Amino acid sequence: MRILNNKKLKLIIKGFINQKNVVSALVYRELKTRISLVRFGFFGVLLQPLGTFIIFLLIFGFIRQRGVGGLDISFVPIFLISGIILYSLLTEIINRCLNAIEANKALFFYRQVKPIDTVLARVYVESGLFAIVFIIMVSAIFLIFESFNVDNLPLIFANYLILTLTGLGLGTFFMIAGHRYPLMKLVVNFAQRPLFLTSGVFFSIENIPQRFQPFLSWNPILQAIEMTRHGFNEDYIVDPEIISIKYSLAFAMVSCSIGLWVYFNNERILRTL
Amino acid sequence: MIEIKNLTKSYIHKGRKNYVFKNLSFKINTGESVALIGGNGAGKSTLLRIIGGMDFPDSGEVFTDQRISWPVGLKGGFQGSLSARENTRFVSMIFHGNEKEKIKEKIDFVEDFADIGKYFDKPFRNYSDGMRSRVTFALSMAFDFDVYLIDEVSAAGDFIFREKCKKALKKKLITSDFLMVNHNLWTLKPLCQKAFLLFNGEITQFDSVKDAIKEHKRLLRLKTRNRRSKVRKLDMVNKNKRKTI
Repeated sequence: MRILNNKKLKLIIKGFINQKNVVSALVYRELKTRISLVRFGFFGVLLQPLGTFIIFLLIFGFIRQRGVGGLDISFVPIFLISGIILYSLLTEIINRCLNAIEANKALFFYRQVKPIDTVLARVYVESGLFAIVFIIMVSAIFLIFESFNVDNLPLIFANYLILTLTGLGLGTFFMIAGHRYPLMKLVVNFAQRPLFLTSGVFFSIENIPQRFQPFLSWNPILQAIEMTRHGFNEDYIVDPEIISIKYSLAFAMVSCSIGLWVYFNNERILRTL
Repeated sequence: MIEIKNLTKSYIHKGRKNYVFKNLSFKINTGESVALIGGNGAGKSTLLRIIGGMDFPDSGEVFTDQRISWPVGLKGGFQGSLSARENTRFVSMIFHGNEKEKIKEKIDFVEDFADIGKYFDKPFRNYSDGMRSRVTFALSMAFDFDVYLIDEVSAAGDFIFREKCKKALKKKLITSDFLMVNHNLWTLKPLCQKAFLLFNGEITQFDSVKDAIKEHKRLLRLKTRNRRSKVRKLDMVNKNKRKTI
């Protein structure tokens, strides 16, 4: 059975190379505009989230004088930083994707540039930047507290990747929704406030009354945050019945599928200026 | 070869569907340069945008086995916050990926052709109209396509630059075909062998540009005459109304 003959395969490979080129060009454009907006070049791009996170750490670090999740106080900075970074990662990806069409409208002039490429580029840039900030912050904390503790690096990495994938799916979905119904942008902005409070950015799900835990655990950000904390220190206990990487993975898959499906049905509308 | 089959395009204005063209079909063979002629709003630019893949028809298809350019002369495709150099690099990256030498070659070509000095490194949104058209034209000349879609190029730029554009276009004509739209009808004549006349959503093919222009002018005159007579009729109706009151 020859489903793919040589010509078809070549076309598909060519398509992938084309898309790779477009995405890398868009990433270049994204970084260039970012850098042109701030001082100190690439470092300036990192400076803004770094500053935000340091202030967050200081404020919530002073509030939280006791240890957390059965661990002593030296775990608090890591606890907080994994919360805020993963939360910001997802919300920032969605915010960026909401404006992806407007920001890149001029570039749809070239037939090769498709709306989904702008989402891919933005997700790539955003996740890369946050990964760098994450690494900087974590290494700074380790330097300051002089206790080196990363129990399960693959788990942290996998969680980060899964959350990025979730962002990709949701970002695609909200880009289209925001383009078709501009009210959606407001709704997304409003929804972020309660999301911040329920994502476990500054608390552990263990501190929540038992009967509310299952409801909160539907939130993929909370899942990712708790798993990442568990990845840093295995003594930070997570209840495998509530928090599991399988759920995060399933959520990412479903959101990507929905995003792609909605995109497939709406590509024309997005490109027709 | 570009083949267009049953192309229909409409837009919705105040809840009503207006057709730009209905069931348009034609074929352009390789090696033919074609002039697209029609009045304002006849759908020339829309047709070019559909062929260039920037716009989608309601139904119908465009078949081609050639590399088709973006509509040259349309001032689009530039990110205002980036400089001309960065924009050029962006477009080169789309076509050539990360081949550094080729990208550098393209950037050098555009810088040399546009010839706008230090402004080449300033943000695009601060450019004057003339500078914009210089850079956009230079960029489209930097890449090799089989078919160029050209939309009102010779509109801007000073005398020397216009000469340069003509020279570049003639050079391109050796290796590739043109599909041209131009209101300055006499510049079409030496470049194109065939002409398509778009009128009321229908397309007529002519074997010489001269005949097409003649027909075009006749139709335009007819249209304006009709409009005038309509206005006259309306005036009469209004007068009668006034009398009855």
